[in-house]
Amino acid sequence: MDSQIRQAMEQFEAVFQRGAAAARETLALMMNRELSMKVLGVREMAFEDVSRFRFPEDVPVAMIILRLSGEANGFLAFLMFEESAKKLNQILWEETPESSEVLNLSNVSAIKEMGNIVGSCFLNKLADASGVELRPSEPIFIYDLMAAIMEVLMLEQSLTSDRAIIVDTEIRSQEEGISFDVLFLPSNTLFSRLCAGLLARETHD
Amino acid sequence: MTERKKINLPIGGIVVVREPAEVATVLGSCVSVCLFDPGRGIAGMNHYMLPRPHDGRAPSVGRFGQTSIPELLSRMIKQGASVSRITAKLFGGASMLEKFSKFSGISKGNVKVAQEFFREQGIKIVAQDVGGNRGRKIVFHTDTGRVFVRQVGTKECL
Repeated sequence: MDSQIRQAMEQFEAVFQRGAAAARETLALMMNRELSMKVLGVREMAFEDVSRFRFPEDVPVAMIILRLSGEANGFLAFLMFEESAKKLNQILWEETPESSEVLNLSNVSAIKEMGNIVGSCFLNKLADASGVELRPSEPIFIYDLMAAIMEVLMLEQSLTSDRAIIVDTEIRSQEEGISFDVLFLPSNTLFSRLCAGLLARETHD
Repeated sequence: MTERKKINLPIGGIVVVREPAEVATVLGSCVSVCLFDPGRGIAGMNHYMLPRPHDGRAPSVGRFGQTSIPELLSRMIKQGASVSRITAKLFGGASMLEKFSKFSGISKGNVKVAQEFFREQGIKIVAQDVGGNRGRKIVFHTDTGRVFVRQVGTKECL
């Protein structure tokens, strides 16, 4: 990784930490309870390796996807392992997790709520910090095999993207905590503009 | 119990084997074709992403149905398979994010390109599990020609 990209990745991490703080605040207000949320790490990787980055490829995941338009395009996706998705209700609403095989409506509702909040907080902070306009689409919920979803996103982005940014994040309520990932899949043009914007503002600061 | 070599087929991959193997892949809108010549014990599978290249050029043969399927068949024949004995099975082509896809219709195109090719070649499609809106994991047992399909919450053998 060249030094400019390394510097930009540090900026991305700082921005996403602020996004996590904003999302925590919104969720804590909505739920009227103490929550913590933090970014544990940010990684850059080749686009085609994303489906293998954490999960076995054939494991079901729940994902909220936002398509980005504006100055340049891309995707931001909030994703959770099935087991974490089932525990999310416990974190947000203190509901006892059910042992059903698939996600129930309440699980889906919690994921959608959190995905929308996390997605918009991350994007708002990124747009503020870089000065790049990011217009998200209506969020789409999908629950399917990790590699199958990534294959479809890859098809959408393959002509314009070389890289993905993985934001490893955690939400906690008292002793209980679950991890989730935010996948940022910018087109090459969007990635360059964001890097330039973030580094320029860092220089000014 | 038959010992089978495990092969994970990536997007754009093409594999032909004569020994018992379990070839696995996960499909969304992509399609995999499984070919089997029971007489010679030769089997092959691919995993392509798009029906055909946009500008007519295919920088990667395996990524496009139009180039990947003939390449798969050609490799089977080179290994000694006979077109008259080969049977085909098709999988994938799901429309998972069709609502906001800028490539609407790709999944159907992926299935169609295979069906048309096999009709032209006189190769019988003996099973298919295509379309819908869910991804699939498929596992092809190359010594028997059987293909196991799993979607979230389901499992079947074709």
